[in-house]
Amino acid sequence: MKNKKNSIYPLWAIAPAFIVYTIFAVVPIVISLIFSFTDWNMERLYAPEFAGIKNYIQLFQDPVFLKSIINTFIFAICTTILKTGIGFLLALALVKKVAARGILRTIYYAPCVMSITVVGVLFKSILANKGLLNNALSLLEMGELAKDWLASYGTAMGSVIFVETWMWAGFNMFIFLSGLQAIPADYYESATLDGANGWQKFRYVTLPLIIPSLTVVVTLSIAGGLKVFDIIYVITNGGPGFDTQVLSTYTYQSFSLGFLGESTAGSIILAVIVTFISFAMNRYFTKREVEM
Amino acid sequence: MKRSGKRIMAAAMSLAMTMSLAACGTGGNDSGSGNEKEHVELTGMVQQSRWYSGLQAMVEKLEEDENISIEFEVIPDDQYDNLMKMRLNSHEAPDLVVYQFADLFAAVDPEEFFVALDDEPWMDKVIAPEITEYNGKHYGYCFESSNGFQGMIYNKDVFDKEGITELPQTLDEFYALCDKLKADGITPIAIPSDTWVPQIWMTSGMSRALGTEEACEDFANKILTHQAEFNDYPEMAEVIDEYLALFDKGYVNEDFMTVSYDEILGRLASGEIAMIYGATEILTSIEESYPDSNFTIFNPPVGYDDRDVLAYLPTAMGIAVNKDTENLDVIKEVFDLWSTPEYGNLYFESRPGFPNIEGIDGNEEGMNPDIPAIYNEYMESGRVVAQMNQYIDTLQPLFGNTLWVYYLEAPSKGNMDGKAILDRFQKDVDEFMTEKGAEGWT
Repeated sequence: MKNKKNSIYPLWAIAPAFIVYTIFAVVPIVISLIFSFTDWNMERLYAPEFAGIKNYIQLFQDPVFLKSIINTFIFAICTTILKTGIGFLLALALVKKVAARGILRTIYYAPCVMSITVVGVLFKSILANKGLLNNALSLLEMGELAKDWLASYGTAMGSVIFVETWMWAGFNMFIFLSGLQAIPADYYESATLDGANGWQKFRYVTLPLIIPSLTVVVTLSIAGGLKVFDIIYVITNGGPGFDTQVLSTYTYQSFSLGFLGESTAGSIILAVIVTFISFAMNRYFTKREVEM
Repeated sequence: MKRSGKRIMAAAMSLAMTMSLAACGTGGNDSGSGNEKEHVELTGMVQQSRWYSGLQAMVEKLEEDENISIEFEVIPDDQYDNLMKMRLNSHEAPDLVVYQFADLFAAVDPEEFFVALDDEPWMDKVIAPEITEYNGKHYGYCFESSNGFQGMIYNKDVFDKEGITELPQTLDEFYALCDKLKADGITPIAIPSDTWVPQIWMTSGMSRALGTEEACEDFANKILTHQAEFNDYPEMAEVIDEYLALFDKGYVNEDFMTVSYDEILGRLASGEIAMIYGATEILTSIEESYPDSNFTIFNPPVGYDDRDVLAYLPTAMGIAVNKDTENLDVIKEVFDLWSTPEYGNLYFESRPGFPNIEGIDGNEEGMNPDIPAIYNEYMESGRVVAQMNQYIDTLQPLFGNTLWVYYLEAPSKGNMDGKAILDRFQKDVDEFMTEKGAEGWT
């Protein structure tokens, strides 16, 4: 009762957001959950029947689905590490007053505002067997390194990880930059007076105070990595064969076959994984945040 | 000075914007007054690969002459089937649905969703009415009577340069030809990563292996009712094994897993690669894209077809009319117009073909002369059979998502022979048909 009196806004003020969120997020999720337990199919669009956990069993019996889970984790972990690491290093370099700092920041940020389809098509032609990369290697007399980059699992997966990193490292750089700029200069001056060297200032001042930015970056990166669809779809389309299939592309393919119940079950599994891991990561980092 | 400069700039910008808006308004009025007929807008959906320049020309002429515009939504091929089914089922489909006939009837029930066009005046002039027929009624306007046939498309200039004057009559002769090309640094056979191309070897080969329409129908009936499985017919695996042997022998371009169809056509035109197993439709596309090239087609010899049978495509692109349309009279008027030479000829101007309406010129003089010659030769001797995809088109959603991917994956990884591919595909078929609740699986 006391809280209600002290609150600045009346409770009904959340109604618009609550209604919109419920209609466009909660209701579809609940409906998806229900349909994932049915035999919903393109042939029976209006007459799905309850099928228990059949869709889930079928998914976990499919080696391509299991591989797509592994691929999803490989992609999410690798891209998160790379995007975070490179983004942080770029931020450390460009927070200082170096020449052409503004231009460099813009250049590194630019890829993330480009259309993913454009980026995908661009890199597909760069990585093609007779593409720009192999031609460049030949010109540099390193022709033995040239290969059909998207034709085998290792190089195809590595390529999409690289492209994702290239696109988003600059975005993470900006989040880290805002975090670094928010650290008061007094802390560094104080540390200097205490005789701290560069590494000690980084370890005991910068790092603890950058944790809130790290929380945002890691949470966004891991969730984005687990949900990845577009870049894989455009560059490898899950290939060669089904080698770079991830959960989203698998679900999409299942939908294309008209297996609506099964694809909904795949989406639910993906949603559970993303939610669980994102919350766990967020919780882990939030605990380590330091009050300024 | 600085402030006045800004003011001048702002005034200039405002003037420019006002003028451009006024210009837009004037343009609209002009076009309105220039054409007295009331403007009607129809909607349609078409696959990206079938958004032909001929159809576009017909649509443009319709708008210019009759003030009827058709807003076609061009949809990527791999998403088309599902979008079409969902929109029809939810009664949100456009007025016109472009699709391959009679494949359309395997995808959706025409009686439920489309308008029967039997009473239309142009129906009397239709050359191949069976393509659009379903339970005695006709549910579409087809531009062509057939998509032609499948065969080996080859660069004649390359063959001439290599001194190849006789086409191979046996499989051994075909291999000898490939060996000769390979020895001279020319890749004999092109395979792109677009899975619909390599699958032509199999959809053609499986029908040729069975040899007759009756045998193919019997095979399909047994497969689709679960009375038999693919590997109950060893010749099916044999077809795939013969295709896989081409990779083992080194006849295929090394980058088949990644190279695109468009790039492959460029290599064929440049003479870097000599042949591609395709269809007359592909030959026409190559000739359209590379008018200076010299390509033609032959029915290649294979080890599993002693009778030398030709696989043809009893399909054609056409348009079905959505039952929910509010513009049926206008659509009927459009089809009336399109069935006249004035409009119909436009379709074949850049892509010669076999028109489905009498009186329309298929631009035969622009067609490769070998196409009608081969077609007539095999038709007259009764050595023709439809491609296998036609017989088992119930499984169509699986083709691009599973089977055709296996055809490309197997030579890359070397982990599957023909029998293993068909075993794997049989599992997909079982799951698909069980999901559908098909007879024989429930």
